[in-house]
Amino acid sequence: MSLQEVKNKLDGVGCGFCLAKWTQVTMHLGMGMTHSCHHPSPHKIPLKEVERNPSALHNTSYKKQKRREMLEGGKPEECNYCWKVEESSNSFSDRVFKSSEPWSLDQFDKIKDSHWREDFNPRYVEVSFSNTCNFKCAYCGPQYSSKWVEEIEKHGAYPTSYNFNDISNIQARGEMPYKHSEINPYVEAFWKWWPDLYKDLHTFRITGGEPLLSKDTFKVLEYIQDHHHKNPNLSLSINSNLGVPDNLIDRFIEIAKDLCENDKVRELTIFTSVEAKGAQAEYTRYGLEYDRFWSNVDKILTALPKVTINIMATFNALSVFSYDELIDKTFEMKKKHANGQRYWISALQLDTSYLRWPTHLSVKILEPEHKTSILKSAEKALYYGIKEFTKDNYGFSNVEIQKIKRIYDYAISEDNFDIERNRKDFVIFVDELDKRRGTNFLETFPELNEFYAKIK
Amino acid sequence: MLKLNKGEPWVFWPSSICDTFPENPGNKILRGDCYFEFNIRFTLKEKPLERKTIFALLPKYTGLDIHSEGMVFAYTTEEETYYINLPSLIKEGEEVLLTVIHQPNRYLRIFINRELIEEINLDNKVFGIDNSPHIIFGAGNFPKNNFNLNYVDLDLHEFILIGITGVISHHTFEEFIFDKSVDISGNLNFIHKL
Repeated sequence: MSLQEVKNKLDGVGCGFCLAKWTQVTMHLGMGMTHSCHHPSPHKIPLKEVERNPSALHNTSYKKQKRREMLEGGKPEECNYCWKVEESSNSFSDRVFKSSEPWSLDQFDKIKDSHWREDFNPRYVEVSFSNTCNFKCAYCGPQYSSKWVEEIEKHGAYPTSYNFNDISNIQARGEMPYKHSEINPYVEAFWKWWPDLYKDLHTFRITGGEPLLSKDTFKVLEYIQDHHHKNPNLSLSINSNLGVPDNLIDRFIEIAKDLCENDKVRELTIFTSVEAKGAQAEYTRYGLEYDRFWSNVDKILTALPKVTINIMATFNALSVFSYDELIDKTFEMKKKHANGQRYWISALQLDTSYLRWPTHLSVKILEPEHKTSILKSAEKALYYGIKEFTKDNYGFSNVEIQKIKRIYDYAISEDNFDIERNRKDFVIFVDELDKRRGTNFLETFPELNEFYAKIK
Repeated sequence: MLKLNKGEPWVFWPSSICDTFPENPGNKILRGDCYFEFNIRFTLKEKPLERKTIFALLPKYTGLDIHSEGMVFAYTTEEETYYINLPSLIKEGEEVLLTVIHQPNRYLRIFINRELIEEINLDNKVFGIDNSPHIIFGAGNFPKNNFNLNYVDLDLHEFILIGITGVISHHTFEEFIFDKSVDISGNLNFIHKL
């Protein structure tokens, strides 16, 4: 069915009707928050609701009201990202894309004919069990990293113009995660719901924190090992920083081997992150051991010949000077592990996105001459381009190349980005970071010494 | 130098890897409504006992074939394909500079070693137009198509493509990355192995 046909079908129910409100959910269990689709902000899940009905992790009374609006021809305000797209262009909004997904479209009739009060088991589920993490990446924060919580509790917020990672703001919004040692009723509700949820899943993705540090992750994996017959077509994804102790990596590989070799899942994808090389990568992703990271990538791709690893690179101001070497390394691994057995063809994908937040780490703070390095990286990826996207070939795909080039386009684009304020915040941030963590920005980034001196 | 072994052709088709980068791929000017000039400096490495294709501009076929009796230059307009028989001017082991110049709606000129050997009048014809033209070196078609291949052993020394704005692609085949010849003009108009 074409996107236009899907749109017509959706509009036949209501001009704001979107299947993702039923079929998709991201649950931040550590914070007790949920949202369907990433455009609306997550909202708090009332504890009373999950005590009564564990599927309220998705089917909150708040969300049901939004479904009601959609079924009755309304456009929920929280989904205004899509309304803006639809009003300002002829492009299809994510409402249409998400409703067209294989995990959504076949549910159309069931949803259209349902009552807005009805509970619905989602088909595409992302879950974060907790914020427990052994990293504290420069662009992350207490909601997603327990290491960040520790640092902010000890030293307070960063003294940038907007008090970066101020925990009191997070507390005020009710987004402070449960501690690892605390009993989390949202996780308890998840386990009550899980046997019923699992059988209907198309895609299940575990995010974090660091999922491999969570016992719940292994509990899910072991459940799938034992109950795969209830859903043998599951598409399973797991995020990991690949910096956890070896015994956890090995335990994960052992289970993943069973899942893949015995067709207990349709596919398994591992999402990880890195966006620079060596010491520069370790500075940004504090906790990362760069060489060990690659050794784990190699280990996983060797042990799991059907698995694809996707590097979600959050390209930021500190990525610019070594991203081309990251491209070299990625290419080396693509070549080494090309085997024609993988669902996604490539053993390793480099998925580059630009950092929007915190703005003081955006590539937009840099000088024009720094930005040309981004273009050079894109050129390198182009020369490493795959000549034909078939299982016999390897290299960077059209999309991987385009996304790196897009960083350059974004970096040089003109908008209302406040360069002066963000540059000042950048210096405040790295000075404070060095003080707290014993790092040395100027030694790690000699390419930025002049820039630093200029804006200090 | 790029040694083209028989059965291993290369192609000038920089827009085939990524559809938005380079932003102005050089191959897009190889069409009837654009001025273009290209120079191929090469050495034939075998006697053409049977039909061999030096280059083929596709998908609207324009190319130079050699055979034991002489050469055939084929070109395609918006209407049809024409074949011109030429004397044998390319010898095994001798370096040759082949130049093709297209002036829209005026002419298509073919030079060998800077000597004009054929001028095709395009006053009433439009040279073939396609959105994604490309040049294959050392074959008349893609190996996977399995027809009109006419493979040849060839050493490619240089390729230069010139458009209305100047040099668009320049290869001396000294630097390669992942089976791609680096475009020393800096325009990312690479030539890659098929």
